[in-house]
Amino acid sequence: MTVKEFYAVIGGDYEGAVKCLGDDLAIKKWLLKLSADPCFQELQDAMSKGKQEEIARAANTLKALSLNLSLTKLGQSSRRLEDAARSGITMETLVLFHAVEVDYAAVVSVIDKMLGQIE
Amino acid sequence: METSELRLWLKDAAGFDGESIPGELVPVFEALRSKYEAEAQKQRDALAELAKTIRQLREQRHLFTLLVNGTSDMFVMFSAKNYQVEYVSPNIEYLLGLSMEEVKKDIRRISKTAVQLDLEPIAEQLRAIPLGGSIQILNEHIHQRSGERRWYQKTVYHFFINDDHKYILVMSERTSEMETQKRLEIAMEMAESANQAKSNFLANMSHDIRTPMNAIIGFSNLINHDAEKPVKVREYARKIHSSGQHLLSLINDVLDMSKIESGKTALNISEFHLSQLLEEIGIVVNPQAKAKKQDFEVLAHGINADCVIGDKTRINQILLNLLSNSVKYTPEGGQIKLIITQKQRSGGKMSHLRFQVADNGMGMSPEYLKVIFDSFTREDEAVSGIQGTGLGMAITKNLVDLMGGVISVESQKNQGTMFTVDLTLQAAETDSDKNFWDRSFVKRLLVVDDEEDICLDIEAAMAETGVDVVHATDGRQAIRLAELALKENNPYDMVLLDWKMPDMSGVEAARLIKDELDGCAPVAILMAYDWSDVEDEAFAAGIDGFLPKPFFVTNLRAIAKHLDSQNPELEEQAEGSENILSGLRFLAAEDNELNAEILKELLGLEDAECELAENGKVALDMLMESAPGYYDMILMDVKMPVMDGYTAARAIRQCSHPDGKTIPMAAMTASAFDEDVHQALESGMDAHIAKPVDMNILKGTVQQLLGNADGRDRRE
Repeated sequence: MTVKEFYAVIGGDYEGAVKCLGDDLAIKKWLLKLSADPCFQELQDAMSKGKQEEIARAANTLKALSLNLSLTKLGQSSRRLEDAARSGITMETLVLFHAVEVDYAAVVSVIDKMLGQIE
Repeated sequence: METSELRLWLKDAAGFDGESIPGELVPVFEALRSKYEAEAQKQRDALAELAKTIRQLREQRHLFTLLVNGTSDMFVMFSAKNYQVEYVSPNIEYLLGLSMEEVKKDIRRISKTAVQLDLEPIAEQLRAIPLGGSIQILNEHIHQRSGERRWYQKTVYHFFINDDHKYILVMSERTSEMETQKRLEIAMEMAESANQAKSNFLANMSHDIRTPMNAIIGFSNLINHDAEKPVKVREYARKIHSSGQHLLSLINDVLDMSKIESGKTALNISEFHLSQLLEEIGIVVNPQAKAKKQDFEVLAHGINADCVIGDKTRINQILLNLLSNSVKYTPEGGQIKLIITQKQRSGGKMSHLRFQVADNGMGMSPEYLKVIFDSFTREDEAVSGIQGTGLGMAITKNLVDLMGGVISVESQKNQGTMFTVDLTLQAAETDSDKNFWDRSFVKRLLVVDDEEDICLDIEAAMAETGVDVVHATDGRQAIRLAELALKENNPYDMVLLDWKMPDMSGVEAARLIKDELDGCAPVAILMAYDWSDVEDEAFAAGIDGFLPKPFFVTNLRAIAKHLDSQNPELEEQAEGSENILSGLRFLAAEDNELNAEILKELLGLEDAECELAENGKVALDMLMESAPGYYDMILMDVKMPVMDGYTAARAIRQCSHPDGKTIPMAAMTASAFDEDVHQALESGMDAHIAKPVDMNILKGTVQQLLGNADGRDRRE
């Protein structure tokens, strides 16, 4: 799978990534680091504690990271969660967190596939 | 009265010579005189009373006229016996455009101005009005001078006045009330229709939510049951995931729609390539179409501005929405086309693009076409078995509207559908394109495709590059042209061959060209679909590369650049002037390590240093501990733990460090709404940079801020 195909599959912006991060090699390097970054874990922890402000902040961080890496779909779901969390923890927040969970898992699994760590 | 006075009076009053009256008749005349005087006084009194009454009547009439003229009501009094008009209020001319004389001549003149003549009262109806009673008619009348239509409530009274039966017609204007009522009726209809649509939506949504939820719960139970069977568990997990995805898309659609309707959606404008957009769309749609054995084709006409400025993500969303519907509602083996046409490029930088999505699928009814872009609507017949929220089209239309574009649709049941989206995008600066082609080895290009339109489109697209483009419509003609050009010592520098041609394939033509023509130019294949299956065969035939269809100059440039690795002059010069960031030292406050690392590396590539702080408090401490002038600029993330960016900015501006008040500071946030910019500036920051950080924008901001720093050049 090429980097371009990766972005098309996970709903991202390949051109934006090239513009921001450089060539395919550089992009792969940053994508690899994403899996190890604690931002999603922090969001999960905040959700389990039910801390509204922490959820909003963690969602904001994940959103910013997604935008930096041009992961548009993950960025959008993070944004929705951040917006909802600002108003409080409701059913909507839980559903939107699940959306982020799914998008993040999709990104990470496709990264693994692309980098050949899982067949 | 004295006798002498009486005699004088007789002479004055009666012309009678009073001197001749005998003395014994004087008392008689005196009595007569008294009586006369009394009568005369009575008459004088009566006259005075009459004069007073006339004055009063005049005043009342004057007042009445004033009242009548000042009101929008008209009064007409006419005889019940012969319909002779006895009074017409003067304002009839102003209100109905009829003169008083016209109406006095014939009362029926008023009825003739009515729009609905059958509503006007006839003689029998008037005769049926009891004394003191009335009838009422509401009708629209046409002003006889202006043609304007006005509504009047007409009341006809039956009175007995001056010993005669009279009808009094009072016409009161009701135009504004009628218009208000009409608006209310329309609003009621719309509200009822919206309510009905919402009820339909909720009913469908309820079904659409329950279905995947049932699947999730059902398969979850099965997982419990078959926990020891990994293959089954994996299958159930896959199905749960798929149902969950579908549920999320429902929720996202509803949230997106809600956000658009509340005006909270902002466009994300940036440069992008149309060729890239189409390639990404192809990657998503091709597999979907292939799964249904559908023929999906992308065509482009007249595109000479590949690089444009707009919201690529939203345009992508619009086109994917339309295309996914096409795939959904077109049966197996059907055809789907995405056609992009550059309609015109005006003298300035605007590029008018038309995107058309056409299919030969099930089409839509005329009734549904009227409401297709309304929220919560779906074609009734298509609902069964095909899932959706009924919001996709509404979201699509709203996004097109947001971009100042226009969307329209033509469709016929069982024939197919075509959506047309017209957008105007700014063409991005392409000076480097011209520079590239000036330095490139490609001066003459031979294009070979059996569809002449495609050849002409390529010629048009290449028009501004300065490259001489010639075309042929079959392989043999191409070989002849290549031979001739070689003989004339003016060979083609590159050949583009369509993969599939009637007389010979592109590979066959390439083999012949390569074999028969010494030192021939590079040959690339033009192909509309994935070429990975034919790569080996193509390279064995001597093909030097592949170019996706539709043709874009950008893609040809990429291949030309790749092929000409011998020519170092083709290395693209960095755009912009000197590197403004080189040598600067930034203090960046960013709580996420990976984000911070990316920023540091990007700045490092520009020869700028970057020291990191994990929150606003650490940034403040680092500044306080630094020597004056150590940091050139602070980049501040906003949402951070311990101390957020705005608080840190305020603290820095108030701190005792010599640079505290003057060091340039920019906020970095992922939102770019006015309120974010406003908050950044309010907290003491000098600028706002949207994430992800665009280095060109950062350079521009730095240049501006450092230039403004008391005119000092802060770089050493």
